[in-house]
Amino acid sequence: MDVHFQVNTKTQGNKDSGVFSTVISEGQSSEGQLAEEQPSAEDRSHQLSSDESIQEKLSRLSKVITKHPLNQMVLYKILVACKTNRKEGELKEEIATYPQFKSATLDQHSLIDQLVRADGLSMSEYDGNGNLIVRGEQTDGVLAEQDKTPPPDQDQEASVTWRCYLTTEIGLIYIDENTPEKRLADLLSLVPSRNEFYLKVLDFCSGEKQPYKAIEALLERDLLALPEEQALHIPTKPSLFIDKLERAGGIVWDDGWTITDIGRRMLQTFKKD
Amino acid sequence: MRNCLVINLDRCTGCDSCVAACKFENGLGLGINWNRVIPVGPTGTHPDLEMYWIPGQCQQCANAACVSVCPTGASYRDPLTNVVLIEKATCIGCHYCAYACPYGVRVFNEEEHVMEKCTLCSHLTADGSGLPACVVACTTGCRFYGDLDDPDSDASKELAKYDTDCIHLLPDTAGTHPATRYILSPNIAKWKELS
Amino acid sequence: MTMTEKHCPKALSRRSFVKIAAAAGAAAGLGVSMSGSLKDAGKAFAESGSSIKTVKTMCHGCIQFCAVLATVEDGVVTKLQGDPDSPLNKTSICIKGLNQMHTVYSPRHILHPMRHVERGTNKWETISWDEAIELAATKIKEGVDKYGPYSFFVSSGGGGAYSGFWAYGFCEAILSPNSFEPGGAQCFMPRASMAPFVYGGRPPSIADSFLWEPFNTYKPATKMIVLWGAQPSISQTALSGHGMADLRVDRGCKTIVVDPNFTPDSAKADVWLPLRPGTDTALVLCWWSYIIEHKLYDEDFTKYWTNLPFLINPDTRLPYLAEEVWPDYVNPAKDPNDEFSTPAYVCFDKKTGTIQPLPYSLPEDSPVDPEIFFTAVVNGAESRTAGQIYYDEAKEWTLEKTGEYCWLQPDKIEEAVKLYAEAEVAGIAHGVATDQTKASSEVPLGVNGLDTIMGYVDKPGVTLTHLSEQYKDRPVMVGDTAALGAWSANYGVGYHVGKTDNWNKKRVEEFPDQELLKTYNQLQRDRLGLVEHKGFFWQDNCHIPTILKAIRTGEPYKPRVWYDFSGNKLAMLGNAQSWYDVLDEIDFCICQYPMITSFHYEAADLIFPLQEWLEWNGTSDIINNKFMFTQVIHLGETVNNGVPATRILARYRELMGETGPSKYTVMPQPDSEDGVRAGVAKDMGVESYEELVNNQDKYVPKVTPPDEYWRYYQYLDIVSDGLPGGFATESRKCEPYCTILLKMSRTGWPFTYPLEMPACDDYNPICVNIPPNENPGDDPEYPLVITSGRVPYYHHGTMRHAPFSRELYPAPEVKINPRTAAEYGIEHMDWVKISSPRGSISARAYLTEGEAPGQLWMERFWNPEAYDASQANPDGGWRQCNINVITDNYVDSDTEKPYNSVYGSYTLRGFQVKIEKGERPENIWVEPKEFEPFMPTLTSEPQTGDVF
Repeated sequence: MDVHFQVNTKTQGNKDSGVFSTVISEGQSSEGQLAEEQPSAEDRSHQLSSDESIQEKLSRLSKVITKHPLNQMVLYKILVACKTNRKEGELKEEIATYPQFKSATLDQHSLIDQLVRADGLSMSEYDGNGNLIVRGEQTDGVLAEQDKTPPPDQDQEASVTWRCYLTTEIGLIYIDENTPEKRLADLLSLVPSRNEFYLKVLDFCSGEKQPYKAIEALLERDLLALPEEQALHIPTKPSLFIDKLERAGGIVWDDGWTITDIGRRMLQTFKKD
Repeated sequence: MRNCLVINLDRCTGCDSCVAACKFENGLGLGINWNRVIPVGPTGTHPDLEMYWIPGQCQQCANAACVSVCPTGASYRDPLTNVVLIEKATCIGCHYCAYACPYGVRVFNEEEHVMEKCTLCSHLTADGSGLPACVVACTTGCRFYGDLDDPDSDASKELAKYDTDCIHLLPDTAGTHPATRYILSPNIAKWKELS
Repeated sequence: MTMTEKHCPKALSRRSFVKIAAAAGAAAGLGVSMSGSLKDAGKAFAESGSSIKTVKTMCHGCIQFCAVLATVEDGVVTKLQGDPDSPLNKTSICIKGLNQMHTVYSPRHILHPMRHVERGTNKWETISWDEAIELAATKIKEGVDKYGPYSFFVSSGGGGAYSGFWAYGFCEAILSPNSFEPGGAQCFMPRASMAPFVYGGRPPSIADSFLWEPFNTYKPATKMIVLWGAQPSISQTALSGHGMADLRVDRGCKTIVVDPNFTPDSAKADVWLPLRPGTDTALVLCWWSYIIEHKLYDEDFTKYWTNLPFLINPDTRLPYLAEEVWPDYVNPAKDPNDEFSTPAYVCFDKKTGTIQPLPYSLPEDSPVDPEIFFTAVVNGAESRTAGQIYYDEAKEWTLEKTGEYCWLQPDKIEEAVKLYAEAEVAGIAHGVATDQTKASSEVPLGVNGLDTIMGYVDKPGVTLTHLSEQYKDRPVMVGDTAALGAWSANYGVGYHVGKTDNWNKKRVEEFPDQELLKTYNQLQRDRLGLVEHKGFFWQDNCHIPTILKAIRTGEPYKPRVWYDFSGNKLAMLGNAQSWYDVLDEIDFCICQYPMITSFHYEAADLIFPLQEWLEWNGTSDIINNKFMFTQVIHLGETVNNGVPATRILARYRELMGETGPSKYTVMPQPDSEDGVRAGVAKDMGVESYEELVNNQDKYVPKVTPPDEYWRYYQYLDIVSDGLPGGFATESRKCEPYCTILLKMSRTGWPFTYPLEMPACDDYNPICVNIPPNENPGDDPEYPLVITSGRVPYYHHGTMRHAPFSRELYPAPEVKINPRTAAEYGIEHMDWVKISSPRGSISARAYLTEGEAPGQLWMERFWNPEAYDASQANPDGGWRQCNINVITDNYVDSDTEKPYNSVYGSYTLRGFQVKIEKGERPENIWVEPKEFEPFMPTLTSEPQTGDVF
């Protein structure tokens, strides 16, 4: 496959740090993110290289995931959650626990459905005896187009007892290329002079949950003291650091800003350095 | 009695509001128009140009060919107002009147299978109480309705303001003697004989 | 003609309505007619007996409002016509107004709040008003909680629901600095704000009900009018358009039209100057040069009532004050109370042949006879008068050079300028065209200036007039009036131009709420794009390309929760794709409008249903007559356009734990329909709304006596300081050399006072030539220049779902000269593809000599049929025929300084494109019968009561 592509199909957005918009090189993979039995991103790329539409599919999935900022982190987490086949009910329960789900604009079913339609998840249906219900033609666990959203009045509908969801190969590539570690590392390599502020925010949010105003108070004066800030028409606002850390997966809003596990690991690494 | 429209093209800006007003007043569906506004020009070569607009509808001919060719009498002249009208109930949709009309202002209603045209809003004007919808709505006040034989009618009074070289008729090629008058002053544009 | 026979059906209460709506459930879908579920109520109404009544109301089909009569039969509006009581439109109503009978009953008129099931689809879920308000307030709060109030921003404009004041007010209430509208810098603001800067009075804008003097029939005086980039016959068809027909035909008024487009006004003009799009400044300077050279200006007025004789300090570019040259000089006009400021300047006195102080006085009391065009040594520096500076700038623009540059015939330019300058009285009426160019500030500066040197100011028949105002003191320009825009004065911010430094300083110090003042100043400081383009302070708006970049990059902060108050942003904003591309940076998009547009299809998360104008209450003026909008019918749960904002704000404040109204906003709208009605009654001077509406013949219109309304020569009236009133500028004179612009660029004065904004490059105090960013010959790939304008069938982004307009004008026509068309093998009515580096669109070719060779003209368009239920592959309908796909907002351009300096305007008229034969695009309709799905379906909807 082509070695360079942009997951986010836009060319200008968040060039420096935006989530899910990183330029990815072939062969990059993130350690420890995949179950051991699964092939690396590189391997999968080779496996799928005969498929001409792989980039288009990835691009389509990316578009769906990044379509709505309030949903994108939830959608990413669903992909991660479905690396192993997940029953619908328990998946929905898990989604409900994500802090980002509180602000999402769609319910669990619609979020899952978006990923299925975008070929990020495959859906399988089972009858009361635990037998897989086969609809139309299926290849590689990916539903044929006409079967993605079966009309509810179909006869078969009555026999469906449960549904399961599994992240597709495309979905797995997407996960690999957008791991929070990678996004956070990218963010911190972009504008080194800003790292001090990113780390300050991570550190500040590693204890109690922090309201915006507290972070604003933490950063504002130091920011304004920087000569490069004084040269700007409008000095950078503290919300910029929050936004970019959140998009990179370093902090999360849960009735207050709080550090994520990944953010904490990153902070420790930097502190050591 | 010659009830008709007098249209002052010195004022008209071709906005098509008369077209819409007619459709709303007479309940005309999509694709059916009893009046239209024809842009004449721009003529000349940029930037030396002239242009005016001709709102066109039934010209209320004195010698109406549509009436004489109609096999059923559906096209008739109203005895009270002397206005040329169509009695839809007796129209058989034979199109003779449309072929005979030199101005192409009759339209065929496919759904009802009958011919239609401007009635000068007879439902409003016949008793002398109202004006045609296009006259009321006209955004430049360019349309005047009335009896050309009555010097006090709006139509006659507007004509009286202008010299004869400003007053025009559509070409009377079929000898139907249209009643409708158009005012166009030479300083706005030279009248072009439409073919 | 009254509503005595009030035949409204027994109104459903909001609660019961919502209940029924909820019962209807998912069946609602889009279109959202509830007629099925409310059949019983509707039937009850139908059986209550037939009735016909006529109601006096107003049309809001465009930005001028015609008085109209609505005939209502059994609760259904069956006829609209102009109100004969109207002094201007009389019985006229244009096609845009007539369309209301289709749009209010359109299947596209949304009647309930709806949540978008998914952006980029036409799937919606009907929800209750309570749910919708809760959702909107919660999402705004979430953004504020997480990222601070700058996460929030608003927009308005685009036509169809005029909510600018509520939009800005709402924005301030959240403590966010950023609101915008696609117009603003590209429409209205430049021409409307420059007039107060130049002469302290009303702008000569014929499109916005600012300019009434030419239509004064009480004492008609206008003999000659210049329409500069304005086309009232098309844009304000039945009001200013009708007025122009009366002027030309009944009053023999001469007209000059400056417009690349051969409009009906061009066709009727005595002289038409079809200049190359975007080259207006050269023509303005040519007129200046010709008038000065041939001494056609009004010498006395220019000498004593403009600042052109002032000697200008070459270092500061500001006029010398007398005290700077003669430190002991005692200004005879100095206010002993130190409140009003009337500076004395420095001139070259013809009588003594020396530089002398030029104190403010009546001309006959002046101690000096100032030279207008002169260079003298002042304080050791060679200094020119402002007049000399202007002349030096203008004189290179000879008739020949201007003709070549602007594609005009030199003799026509001369004929026009002589017609204008040799008229007994004349005026320039200025339209939107130049607002949409890079020279958006320089053109109004230049044309307003021309009127001042001609003495066409504040007298019968001119276009720079005051109306009704009565001066008691020296006039002052303040931030709580139309003169200085916005509402800064409500927050204690802003310098009162015409008062002294000490007085202004004291006022700020004594302002009772310093926290409020500082907060507002901080919002001004942080507003996006305002350091460069400080003219925006006039309208409290931010710079559109700058906010786009902030949304895209998060720098210096990321606006992310959007409340759009009206219109189709994807059709109205330049470089539409650049906006589409940032939609997925938007956390939540709250909208309100009477219908679903491309923008709602692609971007909205929630939409509130607004009233069409037959459902409105309100008031507006036609010249000295105040008319009322009357709620003639009411369908579903639609509301007046200020209501959602007031309701959302109230709930937001509750969620934030705040009580009472916000001190940070002066949002004007009451939060209920009864509140709106009370305001209408008050405005009409009637005790109660009931009394008013039941006796419309008696109360409508409310007329201001003509002798109070039409007032002239007020600058000569002696006011409280014993001096002539003068003008509301710093010098108390007309300022064609516009000092306020220089000071504005350096500190934000007078808008942000006491805060000093960082300086940017000086704004030009006079008209200078500003070439378009793109010119023919620059890039061989894009050889043709394109411009745009309106057609009479639509206003802004409205009415593309009005079937009678669409059958007459189904798709945009690109006008092209036959000789140019022949070069590309294009024939009349061929589909063509027009491309710029931003993208490609489709249109039908209209071959006409009205267009200059090498030039194209095209109307804005979008296609609501693209997401009609009948489409197999629906889309948002903004890509096919939308000229804003090919316009640029320069967010990705390497053009240096691509915007107008003062206002940040980007170019919508006069840019380069290429054309080729094309095909009819997907998902659009052109045949009359195709528009059948747009025909009205809601006439059997029951009449409903107020939502609030």
